[in-house]
Amino acid sequence: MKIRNSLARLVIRLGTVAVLLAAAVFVADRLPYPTDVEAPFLSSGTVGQTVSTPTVTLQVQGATIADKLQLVSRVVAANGHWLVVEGTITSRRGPGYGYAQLIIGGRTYTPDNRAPTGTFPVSMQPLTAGIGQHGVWVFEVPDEVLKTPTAQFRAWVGDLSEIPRFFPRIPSITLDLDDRHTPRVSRIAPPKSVIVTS
Amino acid sequence: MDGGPDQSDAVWRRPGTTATDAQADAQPDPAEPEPGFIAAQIAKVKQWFADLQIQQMWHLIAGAIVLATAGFGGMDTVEPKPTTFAADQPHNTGQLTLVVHRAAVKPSLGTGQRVVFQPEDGRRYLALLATVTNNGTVPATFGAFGRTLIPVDVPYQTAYPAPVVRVSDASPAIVQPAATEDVIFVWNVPESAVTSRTTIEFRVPNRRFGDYLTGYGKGWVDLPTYADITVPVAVAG
Repeated sequence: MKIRNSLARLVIRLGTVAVLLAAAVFVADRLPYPTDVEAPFLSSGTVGQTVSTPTVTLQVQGATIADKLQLVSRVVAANGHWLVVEGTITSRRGPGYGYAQLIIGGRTYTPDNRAPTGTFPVSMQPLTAGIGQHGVWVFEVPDEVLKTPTAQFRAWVGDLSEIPRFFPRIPSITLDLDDRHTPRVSRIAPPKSVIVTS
Repeated sequence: MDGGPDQSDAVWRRPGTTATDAQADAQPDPAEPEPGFIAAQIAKVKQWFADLQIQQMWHLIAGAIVLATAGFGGMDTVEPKPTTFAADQPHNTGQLTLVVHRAAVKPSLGTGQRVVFQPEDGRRYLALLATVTNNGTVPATFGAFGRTLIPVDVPYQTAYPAPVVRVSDASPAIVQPAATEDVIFVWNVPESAVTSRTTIEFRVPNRRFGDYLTGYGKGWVDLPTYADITVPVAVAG
């Protein structure tokens, strides 16, 4: 169809441009974000179980909830409670640090920066591929969050405290937070990480 | 004035016409039908526009611009109105609930046993004591993407060793989700900028959880809206 009227042609062109731009904005606003698209695949496990992924092997021995953290020269009271997760982590692909997150009731907790040297993620020495290290991750968790029955403990080996990109497979260990599975103590001295020789 | 070829009285120059014919053409033909009312009005408006001079057209355009601006709400209220909050009153930034207690300017800051923020020549530490509750689902690290409090009209540098420290042991503050912590915000400021001050205003941007505009990841990013707080400062030494 040939439209001879120049005004009609202009209106049709402007309308087409407006519709195309609006459609592009509509689509762009609804595109998934890379963190959603590249979200990690979780390998679920329980306490005591060894969970292996292509990059990391993780075994969690258990967790402890403490009121106070014993450091070398002082005692640090928690703003809530200390949740100390004990486990063995082995890098299977390359060197890095054993980073971890604790997910409780949709909230994400990271290892506390007041934890002593030698606890994960900054252990005594970086993880080396194939050589496991046994140690603890120290989290500070508010009291009301500890009423949640379970927590997810996720760990990976890398250079950043962010979860790696591009579909990582990350072990996700379910911790039961009740008294029977997670003992309460008044004071805990987190041990330094040691290399597992077996 | 010289009669040009297109002047109506020069019609005698054109071949095949006479002056009487031209005069007859100038008069409306009584046999032609009268234009309708709307057509007549349109013709009138067209004629009014055609009669405008260039300068009058500019006036018309200026008027249209003013009307269009007014149609979009004018030029005054595009900037959001600044809100204020008072010391010792909780203020929600979206990410954090902030209770500002007091501020001080000191040459050095320490815990009593040791000096954490070392004294520097010509510099002072502007310190603000606040109680912070993290309302979000990720730890508040007070990191690179956005600032919680910004001193207004005070030039500052990031204080070493950390811009935000815990009151309890002066360690770099990270407030975990749902946790409440007493923290001190510290800025390294020039001595001359603060010694004569009695109050300092702080700007607190509102924040929302979303995608970072640059870089990769999700976190709390600043909104264009903010709230201001004016805190009296005690300037020491």
